[in-house]
Amino acid sequence: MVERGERGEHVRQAVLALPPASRAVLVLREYEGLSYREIADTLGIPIGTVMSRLNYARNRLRESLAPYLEDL
Amino acid sequence: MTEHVTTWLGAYHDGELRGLRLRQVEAHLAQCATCRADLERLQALAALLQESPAAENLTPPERFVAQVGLRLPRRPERPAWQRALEIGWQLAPLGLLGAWVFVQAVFTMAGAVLVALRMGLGGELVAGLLPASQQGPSLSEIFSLSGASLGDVGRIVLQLLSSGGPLGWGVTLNLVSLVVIGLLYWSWLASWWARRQHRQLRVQQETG
Repeated sequence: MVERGERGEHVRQAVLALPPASRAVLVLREYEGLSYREIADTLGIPIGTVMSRLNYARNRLRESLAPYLEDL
Repeated sequence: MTEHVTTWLGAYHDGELRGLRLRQVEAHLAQCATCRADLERLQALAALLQESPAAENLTPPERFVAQVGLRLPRRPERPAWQRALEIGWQLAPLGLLGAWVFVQAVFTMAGAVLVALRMGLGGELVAGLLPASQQGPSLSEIFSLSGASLGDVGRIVLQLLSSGGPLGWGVTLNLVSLVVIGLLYWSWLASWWARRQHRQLRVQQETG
């Protein structure tokens, strides 16, 4: 339980460490479940930018959360 | 094996790919262990993010923006003629460039004809430039009826292009057309700048 809480805190820190533009796209996709079109409309950016920011955020998270991803 | 599909894996994972791209990614995944492993890592990351209780207190501003944004009415789709007009406006500099190239080509050709006329090639050259259907009797007949030869036509054209002020009609017309094209381009540039300023101001007002 403690380990799970610690992991959650690490995840939170990793997400908060992302640049605001990439973080916004990631949060809207992963936690709000919006489609790329909805994210693009909400933030006023092209769909291509949504995709590239999402790729960037996920790559950063995969690096910073690598130890936890190996356990899954 | 086809090229890795790393760039599209995220969109594939999110169910955002359609048509040919979707089939390409699926076909590649069927034969590429590296990309399949990449996809599994993406799925693992999504699972980790979902199970994390941190989701509850993450970045309220983004949630707020999403909730407000989705409740606002969508900007209406513009009619096709407006979009066509917009594309035409964006392509205006290309049109002006084309006009400039056309003007230069015309005056270069005219210059070449002038030189030929000065060298005395005259009417034969003019006749040679015309299509076969318009050559021969009809042209000769016209000029013989008016009492002039093709050589006279050449002299008339030469005089016309050489007259018209100190520079001659050819150079004057060339300069005028260049000035007009230049003015049109600067007008377009000014209008582009004004639209850009207007858009920036509107964004500032909306976000401000």
